[in-house]
Amino acid sequence: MSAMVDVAVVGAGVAGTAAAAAASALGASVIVVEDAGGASSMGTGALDAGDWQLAHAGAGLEDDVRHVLEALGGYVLPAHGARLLTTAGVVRHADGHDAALLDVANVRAAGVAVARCPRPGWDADALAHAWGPTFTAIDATVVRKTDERALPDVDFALRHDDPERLGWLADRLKEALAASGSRFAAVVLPPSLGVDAPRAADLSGRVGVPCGEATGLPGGAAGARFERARDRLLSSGRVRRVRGRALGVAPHAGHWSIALEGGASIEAIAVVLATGGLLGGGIEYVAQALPPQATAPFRLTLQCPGVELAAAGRVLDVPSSLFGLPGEALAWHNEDEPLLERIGVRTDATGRVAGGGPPGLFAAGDLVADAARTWLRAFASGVRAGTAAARRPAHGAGAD
Amino acid sequence: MRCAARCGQIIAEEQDLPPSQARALALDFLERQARARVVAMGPVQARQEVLSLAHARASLGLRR
Repeated sequence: MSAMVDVAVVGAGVAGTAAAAAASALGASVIVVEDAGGASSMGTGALDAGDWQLAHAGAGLEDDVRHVLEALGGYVLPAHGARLLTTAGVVRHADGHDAALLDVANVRAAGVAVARCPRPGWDADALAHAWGPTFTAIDATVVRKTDERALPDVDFALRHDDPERLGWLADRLKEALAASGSRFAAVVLPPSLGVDAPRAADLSGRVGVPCGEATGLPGGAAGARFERARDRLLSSGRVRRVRGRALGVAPHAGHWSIALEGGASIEAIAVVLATGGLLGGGIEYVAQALPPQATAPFRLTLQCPGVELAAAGRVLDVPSSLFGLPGEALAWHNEDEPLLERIGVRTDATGRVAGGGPPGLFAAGDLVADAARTWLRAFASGVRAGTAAARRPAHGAGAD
Repeated sequence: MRCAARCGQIIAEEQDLPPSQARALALDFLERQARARVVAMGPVQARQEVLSLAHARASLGLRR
């Protein structure tokens, strides 16, 4: 294959999807190269712009970012943020959320019922205790068949895409609320409410009070719902999708050429790299050789001549110590983000690769150095990069 | 991670400590484990470490 498009996006996670949608909305011809699922498929459904434990003044998203998020569908951005429940027993702030999750920010008048049900990792009494005095565990029939006690969250959630099954669940929850003898303002369930689309609003309408999920484990229902929403969005635009592994990106004869595994290539006026960070597979940690053969401990998995990895505003050093980088700098959050989460490609505000990289090349999402590894920031950076790539005049790579 | 969170809750309950202390106990444990692992980290485990960090941050919060 050898096709010329305006914008090629490498990666189909949160950032890649946003970039493709934004570029397509501006009339650009767009192709997305997608490999296996990355970090975006492991999301828990909480949308953060930054660290949720720090003070928030709202997500502060630009209108164009909001428009693309609305087009994606299935997500909510309350004006003053949300209060979500985690299965680690924490009630946390979020700038937005997957619409299947229960937001308890406005639940004041009465308590929240926590449905007791035999699902893996779901201890309603312990969670109610940890979440606080507003929460009370009640007996509820959520599991219909014996095999559902051990089904993975995604498979269990998929069953509630069936309207008949959702109606059955609504009837059971109404019975449980009536039998509890108390008045509740909302019901929280384990991850379970749909994969094709969030079913919380439908269930809430049937039960008569807000119902929703607590956040689940990575790789659960929220990640699967993102993938479905992405597939709908990209198929509704003029976006072509190619499955396969991109091996490298290089300027070629006034444009960009993306080499694919198997020998095919894609030619594009501009390229958005959204291959993810360490978790998504866009960057790789490499075992460190000892001096004098020491090398940098990270590398891009995509061959991209001239593009350097950086952290803390500086190009990545080769460790001079015989013992390489200290573990404290690498792995665990302390006062600063650890290097594993900071390493990336430097960009300017539009997402254009900076620091001497070739023009017409953009990066977004977790591939960007020193950016918070959060859903909303990745999405916003994708929109900005896709917009800038689509507006780039069609005079080829190296012409800036 | 959820096991550490639950263990922290149980210990805090037994010792009459506030829920914030339960979180701190879980984070202390997770951090000690991560620091012990990292000295032998390879490419695959590096991805696992990032996933652990992301999940702990999303579900528990990493700041004490």
